[in-house]
Amino acid sequence: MPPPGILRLLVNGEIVSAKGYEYDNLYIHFFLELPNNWSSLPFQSLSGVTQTCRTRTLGKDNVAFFSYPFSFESFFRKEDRKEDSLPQWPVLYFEVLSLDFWQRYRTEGYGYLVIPATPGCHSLTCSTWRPLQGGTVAELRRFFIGGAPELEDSSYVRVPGTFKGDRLSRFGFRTETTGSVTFILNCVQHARAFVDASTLKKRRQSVLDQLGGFSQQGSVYNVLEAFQRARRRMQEARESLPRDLINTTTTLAPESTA
Amino acid sequence: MAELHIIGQIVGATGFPQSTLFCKWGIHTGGAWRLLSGLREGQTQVDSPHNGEMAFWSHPIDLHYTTKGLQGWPKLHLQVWHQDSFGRCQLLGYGYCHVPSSPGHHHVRCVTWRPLGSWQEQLAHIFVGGGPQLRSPDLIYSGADRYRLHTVAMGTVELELGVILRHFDKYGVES
Repeated sequence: MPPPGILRLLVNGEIVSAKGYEYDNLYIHFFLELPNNWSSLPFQSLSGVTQTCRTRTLGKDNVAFFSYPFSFESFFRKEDRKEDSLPQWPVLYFEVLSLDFWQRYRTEGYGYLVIPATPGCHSLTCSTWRPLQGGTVAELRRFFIGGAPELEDSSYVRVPGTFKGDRLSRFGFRTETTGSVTFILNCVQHARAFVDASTLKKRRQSVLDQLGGFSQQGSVYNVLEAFQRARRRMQEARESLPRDLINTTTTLAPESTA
Repeated sequence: MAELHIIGQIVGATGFPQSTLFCKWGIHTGGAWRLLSGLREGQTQVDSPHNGEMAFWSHPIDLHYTTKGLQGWPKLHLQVWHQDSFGRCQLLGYGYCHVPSSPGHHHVRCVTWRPLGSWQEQLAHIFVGGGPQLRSPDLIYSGADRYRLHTVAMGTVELELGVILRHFDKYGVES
């Protein structure tokens, strides 16, 4: 169990599929960014590359199946600088690439995904875009020679790491919608505070039960429990009784003789 | 110690190029997990569908685990094989899925892929059948070092899994 004040987050994830991309032989490169106050174990890697998958047609779209597992564990420590600040959650950035006949890659799409803040099983589909260079020449170059514009910093997909200012502007930046990637995430949260919360909830429930006295079954159960408690107390009393009696007699005896 | 029950079935497979299919499955867990009862691996019968393309196996899964830690949550890995009319078996797909961490009933669709060899092997696959297989099947659920692997997308396997958790709330785990 993590020490008090620390939330442990385990994510068992899977990159399921990529759908609707222009070219074939897709692979995905992803990495995880931990915001402030988050830490992770030193030996685990927070990035990965899937295998290269040739697509097949399913319905109207070309689909690549990866079924690529990843899991990571991270810890969140709440620092009470500002009371009402909500914690930021880890973000998964990913980039879809395709390999051509000469084993060269082209960028097919960029996207990101915020790890869900609620525990449980989540299936998420993220749409992606790629930077566009206008004109037919660029498209022809992309097809024949390869080499498409790519982002220098993947965090540009969301809020750039170097960003300081009031409003984020992407004026003059052109993109094209490409396909979508499906993830399945199983989030497990672990904290000492949850134990206290669950016992509190139970106590509240029992108080409600006592106030209401709703069902017959509940009252019968209460009576039985009270009976058991009384019986246990009586047994304890009976066990302790003779020893006390003996003790009192032995302590009394010398006094009487003296 | 917290306990986990996995009760369900491998329903069937759909979307594969051939239809006489069977499936080998297994469950991989981390070191903190101990199997109390149930079978952790198995193989289904060969099913050739009459009409429609989905092969049904309805193969039962019933496992009871106990654990000391959360690391290494159970993963189910699958291999889908095809048996032809001469009785030869041929690999059609590898797949894996995490056992869902939240309690309840889950309908899981597990996608599969197959390694793609060189062009000679691909040509042989078209005419003779067969094809490359993974030397160590733990790559299905480990995910490390897949960079040089070339694969092709195959069909999906459908599973129904019921997950029951016990005493996880006692240790402050919300899943």
